[in-house]
Amino acid sequence: MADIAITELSSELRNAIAGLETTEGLEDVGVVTRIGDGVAWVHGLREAGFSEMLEIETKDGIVEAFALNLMEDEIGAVLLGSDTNVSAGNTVRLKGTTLEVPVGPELLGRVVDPLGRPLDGAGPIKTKLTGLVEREAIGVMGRKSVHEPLMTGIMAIDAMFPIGRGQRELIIGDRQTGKTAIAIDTMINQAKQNTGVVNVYVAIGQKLSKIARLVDRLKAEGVMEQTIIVATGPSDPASLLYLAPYAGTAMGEYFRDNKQHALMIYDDLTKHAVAYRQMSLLLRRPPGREAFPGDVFYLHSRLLERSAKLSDDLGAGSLTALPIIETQAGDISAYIPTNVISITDGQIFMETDLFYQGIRPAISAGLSVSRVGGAAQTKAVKSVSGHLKLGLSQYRELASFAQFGSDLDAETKSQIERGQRLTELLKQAQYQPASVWEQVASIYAVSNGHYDKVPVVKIKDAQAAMLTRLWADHKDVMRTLTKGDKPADDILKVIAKAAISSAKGFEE
Amino acid sequence: MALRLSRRRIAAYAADKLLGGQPRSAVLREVAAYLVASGRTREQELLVRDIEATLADRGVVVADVASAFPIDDSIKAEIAKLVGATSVELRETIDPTLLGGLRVDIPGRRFDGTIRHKLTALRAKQL
Repeated sequence: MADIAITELSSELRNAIAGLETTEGLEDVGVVTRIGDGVAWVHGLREAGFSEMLEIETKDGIVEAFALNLMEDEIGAVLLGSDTNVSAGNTVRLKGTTLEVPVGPELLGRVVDPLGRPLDGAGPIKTKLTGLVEREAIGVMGRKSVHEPLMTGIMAIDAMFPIGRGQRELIIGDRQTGKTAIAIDTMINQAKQNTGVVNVYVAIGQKLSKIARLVDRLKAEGVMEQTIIVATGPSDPASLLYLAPYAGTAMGEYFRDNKQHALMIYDDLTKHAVAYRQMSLLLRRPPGREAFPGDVFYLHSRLLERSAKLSDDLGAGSLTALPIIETQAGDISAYIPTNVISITDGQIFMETDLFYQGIRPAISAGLSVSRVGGAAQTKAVKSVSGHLKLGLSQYRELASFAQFGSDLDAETKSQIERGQRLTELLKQAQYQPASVWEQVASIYAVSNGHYDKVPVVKIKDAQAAMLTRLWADHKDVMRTLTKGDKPADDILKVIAKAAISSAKGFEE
Repeated sequence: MALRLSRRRIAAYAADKLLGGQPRSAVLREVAAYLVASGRTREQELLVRDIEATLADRGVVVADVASAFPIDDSIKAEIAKLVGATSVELRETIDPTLLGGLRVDIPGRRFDGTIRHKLTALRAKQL
């Protein structure tokens, strides 16, 4: 058989395609008939495909657009740039491709727009590959069930609502309840624990000052080297806001498909749905509930379905998603929240009341759930947190009764006391994710009653004292614990000893 | 009220009549009457384009040729070959701003071999 060099074949094919592109011939052209609000109506271009890229030739250069409404007599296209230079009569060309963005490790540490253009002033990005913005999700056979933990470093989440690699966990809550803070802490934790997980933060219509602050913080924490930020601001065209999560996902998929792990954060999908509503209404698609178009569910389901844990045959990479949804006055039964809740594998619900009571992160134990993370929870944390959720729920129930009278039996009283301590323990300062050993030791100390005599206000102090002592005296043991296996009895004894001795200093 | 006809269907009707040998003025009067009656006179420009496109599909092409300098007959023959239709009618315009080369517009398609286009493409690549 003749020896065929495959590598040469591919380069020759590429050259042939490049040659064809420069060959001149008859091109399909159309003409802009109407323009306004970022939407151009085009006559002609009968060969145009759905979501295909168009180039509008204006007197100041070329403006790109993509065809979304293909009708008998005209095409509705959404511009990717400003519409000020486009006017009726401009020539429109078919580009012959759907939208692609640059992907690859070269994007790490950069802030880009949804088309992959740098926004951080750090020079051009020389990527070798591109990825499809709209890409079909992986099929059933290409997937594997979620089984590896993705530690957020937030004790309340890792203990009660664990997240696995490849999971989609929604963060939902009113404005100013710490939704983004959870996402940022999770990103920071990936760098602090050296998990190797790549972060892709997609800001959809976020204030540019907020994005700048976030970038500064990530740089200060040393997380930026393993992070890509896809940024869109409130003044960007709706088309860019609409594309941002898909473009970010394409960048994350590169890592998923190359045996790595990536974490997507979509901040937030409420604004994404609003941008899509604007586009749809301007394209004259019929409005449905709350004026959203009929395919607003598909908008988010096709996006989140791309997050997956891949099978071993495909390299076992993963793409985890933390979409964020903002509710109005805690109403999780509104249209977009219910849609995204039903798409994701669980949600972390942030409550305003808890936030103002000083319980931060303000995670509601009753309304939050992780539907697949249980199988992925670190065994070490799982072994100590079994009763945590139950204890907290019982406490919440009893605490409401206890407000009416002080005559309580001893058992109820002890449950309330324990619950107060657990709640206090789960409070955590921002930007300080806890490692596995810190979580195991802290939860073990409180849930086994070692801190029952420590006043509630001093729980955090006692915890800090214990952790300092454990790290100073038993570094190797704690390192073993961080590996994640179920702790042996002698390790638990070490923790118990440190807990009891640290508690002594704070008892009254 | 009757269903709103798409421009494409009106164009197909007009093209059929024209190719069927009906006098041009009669067909256009009929189309004009329809546009006025249905209040769609604003679409006349687009309709003309649609009729031209439909005629082109059926082998009758009107090609607009723009060039910086007058073109000779051999080039005209080349253009007819490029368009590849049974009947080609050329409308010529001279536009010095094209700098050189020529541009052929047939309904829905364009061949742009002008120097100006090449310069624009170069500029777009650099940006």
